[in-house]
Amino acid sequence: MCLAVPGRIIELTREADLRFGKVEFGGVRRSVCLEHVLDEAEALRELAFLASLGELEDA
Amino acid sequence: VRFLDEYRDAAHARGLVRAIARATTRPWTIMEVCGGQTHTIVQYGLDRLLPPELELLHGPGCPVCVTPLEMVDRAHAIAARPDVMFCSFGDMLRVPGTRGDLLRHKAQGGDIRVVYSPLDAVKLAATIPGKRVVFFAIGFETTAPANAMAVWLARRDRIANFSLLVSHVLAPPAITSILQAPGHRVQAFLGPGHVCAVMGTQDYEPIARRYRVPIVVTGFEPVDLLEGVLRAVRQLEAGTHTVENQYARVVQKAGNAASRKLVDEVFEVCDRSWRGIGTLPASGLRLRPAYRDHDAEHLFEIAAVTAVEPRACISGRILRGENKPTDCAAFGVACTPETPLGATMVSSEGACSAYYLYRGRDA
Repeated sequence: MCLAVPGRIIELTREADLRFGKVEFGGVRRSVCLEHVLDEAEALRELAFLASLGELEDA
Repeated sequence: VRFLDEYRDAAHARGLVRAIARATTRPWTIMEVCGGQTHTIVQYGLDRLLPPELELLHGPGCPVCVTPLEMVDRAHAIAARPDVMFCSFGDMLRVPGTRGDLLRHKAQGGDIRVVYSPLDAVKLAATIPGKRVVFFAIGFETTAPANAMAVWLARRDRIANFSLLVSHVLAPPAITSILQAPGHRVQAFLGPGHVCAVMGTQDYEPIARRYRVPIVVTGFEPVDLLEGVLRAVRQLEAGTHTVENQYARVVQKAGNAASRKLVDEVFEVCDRSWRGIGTLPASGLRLRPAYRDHDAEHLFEIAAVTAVEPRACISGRILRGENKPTDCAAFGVACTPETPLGATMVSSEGACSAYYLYRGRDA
């Protein structure tokens, strides 16, 4: 129940006047509420961190 | 999968195992709080890679396991009504109540739906106005924001046929109750990573100080858990007791501000009864009075439904870290995931099911 599954946001949408998105989880796509997802500045910090992981992986 | 594989890397894990062995000079006992962490530990055999001086105790953080039998029976009473469509995450359906589980109700024609999000249940309520749609809102702080969002949305959009049956619990009071139990053996905690992703880490600081116990907020992959153990051992060996954050890629000190705000708007703190542990003061969440019209406990008269726990099962002692699954005579014999006697064998996050799934009957 307290799981976290990494997903890739492929499309930003709105549903019921809330921020939603189509998110892909290892090939399975579903509509997910994104209202509580980090704001842009935080998201960029997170992306920078993930990019640094990617460099480690590619090295 | 990217962003998972890095934390399942064998070379990295072996390096951490060596570092833990170097850091350990004395016996220490560490409890991982979450059932998800227990599963990773048992699945990957991490406990068997650690030096013999280190013992891992499995904690109370299994949401299905700690949901009282009484609440399961109340869910059954509501689900049995012909005008109700009862929605839940799948793992709750297999939990045996006093009279069978919800899957059996479903097989007998009950309108019981498995959903992946409480918002799916709100959608069902909006499309099928003739049914009273009830979602079983259980779990720790991790599931509270999505449940809060669902009921907030139902109230805003006047979806009158949607309600929540709430049995939410909070992690810090459970940790405190373990530390207050006479003769407890826990010297350090691996803290609940996803609970802290929502609520932040501040609530753990007074606990670490008061009980002089290191708390390392930890993730759920093998590398996360080994790093959490290493950090806990280093604190124990150095005699410090602070809150550390191993899971910084997900957890921020202040948690998720938007989630906390909504949870606070929708829920208020209340006393809760925990299966296997008993009633703990201020240890759960219930809907605020403004959400009364969406509160299944208010809408359906179920307060009279009470239940008595079966005696054979030691899941309460397992949830408190006082026993391991293998200490139970019924483990793997009378009690298996197919015929569970208690919640720690039912839930995919329960310690007994982890031992049975990954180590078999002779765990």
